[in-house]
Amino acid sequence: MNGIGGMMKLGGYAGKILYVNLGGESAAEPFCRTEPLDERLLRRLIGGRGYGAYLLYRLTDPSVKPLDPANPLILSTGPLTGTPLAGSKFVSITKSPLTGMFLDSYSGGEIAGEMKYAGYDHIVIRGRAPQPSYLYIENGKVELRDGRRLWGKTTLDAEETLKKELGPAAKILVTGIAGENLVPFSCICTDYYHQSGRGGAGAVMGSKNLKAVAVIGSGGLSIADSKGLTEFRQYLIQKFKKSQYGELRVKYGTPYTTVSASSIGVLPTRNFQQGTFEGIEKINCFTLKEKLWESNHACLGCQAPCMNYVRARQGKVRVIGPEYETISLLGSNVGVDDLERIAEFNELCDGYGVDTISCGNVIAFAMECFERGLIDRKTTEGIDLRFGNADAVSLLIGKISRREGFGNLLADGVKKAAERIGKGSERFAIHVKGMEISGYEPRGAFPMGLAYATATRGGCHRRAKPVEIPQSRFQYDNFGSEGNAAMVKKLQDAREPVHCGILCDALLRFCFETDMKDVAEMYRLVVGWNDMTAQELNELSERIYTLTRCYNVREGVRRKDDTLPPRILYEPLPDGPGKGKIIGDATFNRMLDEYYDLRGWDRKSGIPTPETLTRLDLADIAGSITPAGTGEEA
Amino acid sequence: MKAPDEKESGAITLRFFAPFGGRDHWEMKVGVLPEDTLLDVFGRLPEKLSGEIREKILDPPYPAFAVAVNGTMIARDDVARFRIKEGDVITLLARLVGG
Repeated sequence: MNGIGGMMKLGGYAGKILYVNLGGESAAEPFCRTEPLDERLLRRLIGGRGYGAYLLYRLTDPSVKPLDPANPLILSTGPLTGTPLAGSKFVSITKSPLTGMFLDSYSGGEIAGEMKYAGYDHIVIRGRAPQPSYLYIENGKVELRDGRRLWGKTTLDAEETLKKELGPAAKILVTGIAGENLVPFSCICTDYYHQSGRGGAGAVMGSKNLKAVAVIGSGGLSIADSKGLTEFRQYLIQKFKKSQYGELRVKYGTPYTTVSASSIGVLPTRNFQQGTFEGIEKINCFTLKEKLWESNHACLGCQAPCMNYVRARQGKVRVIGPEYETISLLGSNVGVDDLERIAEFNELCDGYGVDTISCGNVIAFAMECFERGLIDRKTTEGIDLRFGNADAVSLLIGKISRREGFGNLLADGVKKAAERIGKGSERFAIHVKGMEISGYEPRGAFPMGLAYATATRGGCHRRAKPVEIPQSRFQYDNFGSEGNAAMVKKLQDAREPVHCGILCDALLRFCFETDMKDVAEMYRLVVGWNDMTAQELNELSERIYTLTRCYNVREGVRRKDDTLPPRILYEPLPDGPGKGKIIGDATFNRMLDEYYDLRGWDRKSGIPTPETLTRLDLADIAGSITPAGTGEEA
Repeated sequence: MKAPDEKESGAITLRFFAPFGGRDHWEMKVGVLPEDTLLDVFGRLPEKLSGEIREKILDPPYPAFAVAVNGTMIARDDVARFRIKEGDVITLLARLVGG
């Protein structure tokens, strides 16, 4: 086995980090340089979210604001990225403009593997270009090119323009008009329809005057045991075929969730005022399949093509999606029961480059403000902003992305919008730490509330999703507290090894049933860590989760921030299995205490204890982040 | 499907939103008797379908599929206790939740 980029021992890695300085505050840095991966850290942090978190920790401090030139945009891959294993991804890591905390936002698309083939495991972009630009990387050649003609273009147009100029070999990621306008829930888009959707990495690109990154790689990747990996891939394919979920996953994709979310009463409806939606039949996966579906689409190397190409509005709309989150947040949550319009919203959000989850939330919030009389037509510039008004939703997506008029009031997310509108609207501003929560109503599943409160990037479903777990697999209490902390921690930990890899966590969960022995085997075959075990991966998971917690603690996050919106904590749901149930402070705090104990974080402050940092081999990286080190000893 | 001398009290709808009976989106009307539980109804379905429900929902330690009554998912243990009435809509679905 020959390593690439000077790494002679380990497969899977390209071996290098590319640092790019676009100019501005970090002028002392050269335009570009490379640095070898620190081999001592690879087994501890692997790559992707783990190694990327370490880089962000090292390169920033609390004085760096998210839109400062000094805030790096780190595009990270892992050793499994670009291999024949299914669902390669990259992750955008940065300090989030939406939350001010650690952000990791994943995307499929071919650029993930291309970065590796160009010779880089991580690309770290800092500074600010003097004018709109794009970054061109072709193996060892790195250039900052004039991007002025791309500025103001939608994501689709910008990518198409660059594709025509650079040819099909170039794999491209772009930000949209929302990113240019620093909307803190703007996306990074790639391969037209794949997004690093959450937390505003697109705005970080915009703040750097960086419209796009194009990568061409012609190198290869070493694999420790190629023959073994080929056989293992066949084993995974067979496992997938036997999976009870596989068939549904491919046939309907994430929209199948409309059926289950509605039946367990966790479908966000009219700004989380209800957990079921009377129009569900019109927006469920069966209607999508029957009326809009055109074909399936798969991520790089994936044997489970779970995304849907749809065509709507007499062919005027063609988009990959809408995924479940979009159907729920820009469908039931804004009271719209027309899938064709939801597909249109999806296309608009993709084009402008905004996250459909945050966008749906902030529009739903504005609708509730309007219906409650907290804002009127004068504020909305004449828009009749009642729930169900699809034209208003369509109009607002553009206004928010362009920061135009009333749209600008909403363009900084629901937390800021509530601060601006006031009048008690904070009570129904649905976010955790500034990030709008996603398509699962916690009052229909209390552990979901704990998952949102403790997710390291804010109100996010991608770190743990207890609603998908059959009740018999874990001993937990859907409408209480017992056992919930242990389950949430286990689910969070289960994702870390694939988020470091980086592969699709959905595929791992639904089709391979999250078997850590399988994941350990992947690392053994690709990297050559022949003694890698499931137990080691469990320890890695705890380490990475606590490392990202340390980052957030350094940014000021404490126990008081690990909470839920007042509506979710104190108001009962009017419908569904959770009807009349209230989470409340006592239940929530019991879950949180237990969770901190399991993590080894101080109950009073939520800060990892020194013993925990030592146990997880993090003392040399984050040793000062302890209750004593922050002056908050319990 | 009904026992001799028993009088049906009406019909319910069984909706299949997951692979049962070789299809994954279909429904059927089923007669019910007074005091019927959901388990009674499942037990009187054609043998193959009844067996499939047992195999996919009632028997596995961690079932991938579940039952909802009038749009609300119920615990598997309640299948044997839940008394149904005319007009109820029973949905069989996958627990799959995933974005």
